[in-house]
Amino acid sequence: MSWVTSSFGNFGDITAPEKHKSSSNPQCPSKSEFQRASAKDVLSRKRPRETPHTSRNQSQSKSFQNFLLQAELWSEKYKPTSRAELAIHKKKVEEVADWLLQNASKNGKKKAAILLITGPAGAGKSVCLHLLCKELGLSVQEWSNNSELAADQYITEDFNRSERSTVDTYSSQSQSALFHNFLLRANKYQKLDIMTSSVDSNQNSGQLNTVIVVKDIPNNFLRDPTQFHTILSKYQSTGRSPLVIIMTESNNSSSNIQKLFPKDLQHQLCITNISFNPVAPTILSKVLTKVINKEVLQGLIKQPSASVIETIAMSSAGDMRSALNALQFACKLDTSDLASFCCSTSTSKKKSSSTGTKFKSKTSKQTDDKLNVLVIGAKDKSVFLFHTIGKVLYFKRTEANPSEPNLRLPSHLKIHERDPLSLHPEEIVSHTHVSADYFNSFLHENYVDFLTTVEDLERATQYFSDADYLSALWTAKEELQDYSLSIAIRGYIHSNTDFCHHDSIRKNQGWKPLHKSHWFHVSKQTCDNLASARHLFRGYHWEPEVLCTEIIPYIGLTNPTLHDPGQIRFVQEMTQFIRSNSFSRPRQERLNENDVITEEDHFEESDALESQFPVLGSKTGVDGASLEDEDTVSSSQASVQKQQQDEEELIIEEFED
Amino acid sequence: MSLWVDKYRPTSLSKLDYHKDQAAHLKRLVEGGDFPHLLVYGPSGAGKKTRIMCTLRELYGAGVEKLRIEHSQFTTPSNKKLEISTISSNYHIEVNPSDVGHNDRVVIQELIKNVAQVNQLDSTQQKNFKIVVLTEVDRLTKDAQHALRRTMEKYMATCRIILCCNSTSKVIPAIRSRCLGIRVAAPTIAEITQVLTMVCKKEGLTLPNEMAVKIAEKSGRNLRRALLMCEACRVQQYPFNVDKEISEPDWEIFLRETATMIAQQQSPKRLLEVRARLYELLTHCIPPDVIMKGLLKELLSVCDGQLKAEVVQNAAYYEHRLQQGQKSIYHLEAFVAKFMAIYKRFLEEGIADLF
Amino acid sequence: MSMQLLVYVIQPVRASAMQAFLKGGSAASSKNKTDSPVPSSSSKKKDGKARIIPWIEKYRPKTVEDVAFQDEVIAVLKKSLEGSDLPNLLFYGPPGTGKTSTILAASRQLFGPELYKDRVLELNASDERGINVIREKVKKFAQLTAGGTRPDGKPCPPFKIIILDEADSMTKDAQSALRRTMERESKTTRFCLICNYVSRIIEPITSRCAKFRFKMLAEDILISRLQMICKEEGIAIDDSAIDAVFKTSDGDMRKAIMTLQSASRLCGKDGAITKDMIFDISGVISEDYLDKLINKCRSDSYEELDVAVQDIIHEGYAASQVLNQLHDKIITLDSLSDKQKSVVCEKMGEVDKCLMDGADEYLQLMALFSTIMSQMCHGG
Repeated sequence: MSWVTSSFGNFGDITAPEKHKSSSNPQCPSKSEFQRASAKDVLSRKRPRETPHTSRNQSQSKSFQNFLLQAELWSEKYKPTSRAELAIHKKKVEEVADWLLQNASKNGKKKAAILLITGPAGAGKSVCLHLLCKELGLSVQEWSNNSELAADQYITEDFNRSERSTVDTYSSQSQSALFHNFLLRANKYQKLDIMTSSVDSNQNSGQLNTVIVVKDIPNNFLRDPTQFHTILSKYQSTGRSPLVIIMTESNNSSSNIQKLFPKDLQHQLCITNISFNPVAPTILSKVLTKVINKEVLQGLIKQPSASVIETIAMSSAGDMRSALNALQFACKLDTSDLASFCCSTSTSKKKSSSTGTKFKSKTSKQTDDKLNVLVIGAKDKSVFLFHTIGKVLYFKRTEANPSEPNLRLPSHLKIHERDPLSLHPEEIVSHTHVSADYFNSFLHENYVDFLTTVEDLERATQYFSDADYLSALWTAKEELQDYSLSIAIRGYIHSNTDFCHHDSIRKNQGWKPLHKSHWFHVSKQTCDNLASARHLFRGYHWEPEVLCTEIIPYIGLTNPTLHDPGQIRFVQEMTQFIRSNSFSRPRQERLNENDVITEEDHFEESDALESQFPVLGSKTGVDGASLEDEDTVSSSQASVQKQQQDEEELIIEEFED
Repeated sequence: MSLWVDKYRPTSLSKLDYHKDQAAHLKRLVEGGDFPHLLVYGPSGAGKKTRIMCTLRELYGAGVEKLRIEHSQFTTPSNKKLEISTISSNYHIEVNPSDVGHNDRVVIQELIKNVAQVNQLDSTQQKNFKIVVLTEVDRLTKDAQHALRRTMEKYMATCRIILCCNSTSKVIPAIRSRCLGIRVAAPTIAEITQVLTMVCKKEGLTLPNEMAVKIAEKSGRNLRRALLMCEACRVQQYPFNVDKEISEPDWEIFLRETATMIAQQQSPKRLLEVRARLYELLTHCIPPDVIMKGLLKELLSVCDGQLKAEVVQNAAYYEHRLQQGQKSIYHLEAFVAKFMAIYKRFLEEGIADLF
Repeated sequence: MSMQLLVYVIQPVRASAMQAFLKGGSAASSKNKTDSPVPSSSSKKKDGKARIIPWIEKYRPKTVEDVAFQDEVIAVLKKSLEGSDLPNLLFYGPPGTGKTSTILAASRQLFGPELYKDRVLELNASDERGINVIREKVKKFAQLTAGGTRPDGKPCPPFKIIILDEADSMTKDAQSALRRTMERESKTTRFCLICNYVSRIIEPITSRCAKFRFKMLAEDILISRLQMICKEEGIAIDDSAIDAVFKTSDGDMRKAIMTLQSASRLCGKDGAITKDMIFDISGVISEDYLDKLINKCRSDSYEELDVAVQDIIHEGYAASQVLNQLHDKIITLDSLSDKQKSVVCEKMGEVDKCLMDGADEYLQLMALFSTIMSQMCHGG
């Protein structure tokens, strides 16, 4: 967390005098910077904000306007205009295009097709869709949440103004009702449209087709997903035009996606799911360089150094929009009064810390090019569960310091000697956003794969048992949870005797798929089953244990006449055991959170970590591949690893998530 | 549905099949007029509930057999709503307070208070107290047990409490000393055999004596299980054949297979397979301690003397943790891994000795 | 139960006293005499039909002199009774040695049967004594004034007594709250704290009290008491059964009397109480059974041990009871060396803790007995 404190320290230094200045002397020279900053703020948030700054700006609205013209956001300015410019993997684009072609032109289809596009922010979901629609000559009707004007900024030329205004008049209605209306209205409208087109002639039916795009889903659907599901299924049966839903994935919204589009619903409504990956850093930096070149050509800015671009590309975590914003920002910096800038943005933006750091990185860059500082416009640095677990499981050791012989153990304890860890597990864990308990479960689900001998296993399981035992006392659970996790992690690491020293070679090298913790599911199901057992057989007043271990199993054997169909079903369920001798975990248990790589590794001495990299690469490679070809995953792993250096196309895939 | 266990459950003290002395004592206790709180304890399937119901019948007559299932609601001091289902007649109420987990104290206090404050409807009845039957008292929290002890004293005038549990180890001494302890030992093999024969006779079936003995032995002196087994055999393989295996519930077979898997191979991969099976067992509501004991029993059969002692020590160690901890799977797994390690060493030593 | 009665009784008496106060002195005494039942506990129960009083109440010592075996305590106490004054008291010692009986008897002697209910507050339920109870209930009672004469004209000490039974289960906070109350009300109120472990009472309180230690009752005293009760109640019991009662009671008079009464309830009027019955009621395992178990340990056969332990479980014996009795056996067992015994005892401690935590009895007992077995057959 040092980066936060350092940046805050920096920021604090700056703010104090600045505040003073601005309050004592309103006509201070930094004012124009304020304007610029707030203007930028407005743009980046795509929502006008009534801050004191902006109100003050109104007096000088003319210059403000000028500024706006000049300072068009690069992310808008350099929006891709053709398929080739999209910084998205070709296959993905084709996938979307194919879907649009297939479903948009079909008139005789009984059901409306639904497409769900998911992916992290700035992966180019909307851009891609709009671009393709334009290419294919489809008009876009977009839903936006009434209260938010956010979508206004994104309205394309194809957007149907009249449609939107009618929606607006219903402002007294709830968002969900509005949403419902929107979809049905779009339907009706579409129906009419089809009618006329079919009456006229069939020749231009492809031209007139509309795609309905939903980007914001009203919040109350999150609370009550079933409502949303009914609307969707209704739409599917009555609607004509294809519906595209774009959902932004973030570390905590994947559950929302799960809630709104559970697997069975997706299956039931034949929803196609295309998942976008974050833009790979290489692609990103290419795009950034292109943009810079254009700008430089226009003489608007000075050429920044290549390392700046690289840093931005790395830190943006595959978010094209934020990368471009950061770049624009970085280039402006040279002429800006930095102090005031930081001050004004930091009041409103959560990323203030990173803007602060950015300044720092900028200056430090000038002295030496070693970018060990955390970076401009970087995404929230919380490391995603998937990667954290990977890091713990593929732990690394560094060479022991030979100058400290005291650290060596006496000979009879030699077996316990380990080289120091290169990363502290506690530090890694502190970057996740999950509770220690949760993390522990995930680790537990996965660690066994990484041990090779029974002796290691014995010790590791012992540590896990210890870890759980520590959290037994519920009064102290909160405090002990972190220690408990530390014991589990360090216990596992210590037990893994294959990797005692920094130069030990992993015997079971290679990528192993990670899995989601099964425990929560198991314990929930146990509770549910127990509750239903009690409920169904409540007349017999058996103790729960007796009921489950004796009565129900024997009822299953004796088949007495049960009158309640629920009982019959339950007894059948409870007396059946899955016996699969060839053990394999179901695919959906795989942990493949399509999350952004915000690994620390990128920002540390990357040489030392080069060896680690193939692991990470292949890790993500599996996920990328799994979307396309479920079966060849395992065989493709090795090749993916090797090809990484040579083929750019593949790198995209690997780094996409 | 009526299983034999329910169908042939004795309903009066004089009809009990075994522990006849104890039945006589209970009868005298009822006649004595001064009925104390009771603490009925003994292993599962020994007939504790049967004895309690018989005693109640002795106290109040056939009225206690008119049972109704009710849902009572309680509110904790923190305003949490608790629901618990009770089985009651006009004279008694039976409840399993451990159903509500940590909030059992509230349920106990409120329930007994409610019962004690409502006077006996039938004033002509000779008994001027009601009975509260609490099952699984050994699963009560300490907090609830202390509350129970006070409540017991407070409402002595209008209600009596019958506590039912498997072992008194987990019952606080203060409660034990306030109750008359009734120990219900498990029936002997001979007694079970006798009951089985009797039940089969009533069903109009012929049960060979060897078969009855075989079932009784397999039941582990658990009459309920013996009757269930017997009924399962009746359904699946009548006429009874002594040579045939007695039908077992699927989870026991599954557990045994799991144990065999552990003994066959010791590797991390095998542990993962075992884990999947343990999960399967847990989702079928087989309590983790039962799993542990089942595994132990099967695993011990492949060990020799000294090894057995070591394995048992470990089983006891991890079972204790399992009761204390949150995630039973951790401890079950730790035990399995421990066994694997011990057993592997044992096998390797055996091989080394050969050369 | 006694506590509930107490509250019940205190209210009307106080109300009538208030009435008396308003009407004038003369009415007070007469009213009180007609109103307050002499042995209140029995009279209350007499509505409806006769109920048997618990023997522990029935045979509670009536005077301080009746209290058995605690000669030193009694001697000191008697001195202070003669002076009609009491210091704050702290009684401690093992359960069933007469602590509660002593203070009850003493206060009865001080105040006489009528005033007794007015002047004594007994709190004995462990969990009804949070800080609030100490603050409110005790304070309220302590603030009532007390006169220097009894209704019958005899002089009596001008203070009240508050008995706090099981004081060691009070929280530390409640104890310190009590300490302040003790100081403030020292003029009108005497406190008597009763506990098993004096170490659990905070120092400021112990220093304010006269401490009395109650000894474990000796065998002959206990047995003679039991015999006396049996004679009174007309119970047929043989000496071996009386001996069994003593053995199962651990020197706890209350427990012994309770056991005796339970046994007599089970037997009815005409049955004779036997030794086995006593053992059974108190959940004690017979000596022979234990000896058999220990012999099984010598066999060095895990299978035999397994059968034996399963049998314990099937018989319904509590593992904690097995542990307690086994401990006594192991300590005196000649065949084990001191070192071996210490190994076994350490395991016992561990098993005991695990059992308290709710671990499985069978597994824990197996662990214990296999330890004993390996010590007997391979240890040393």
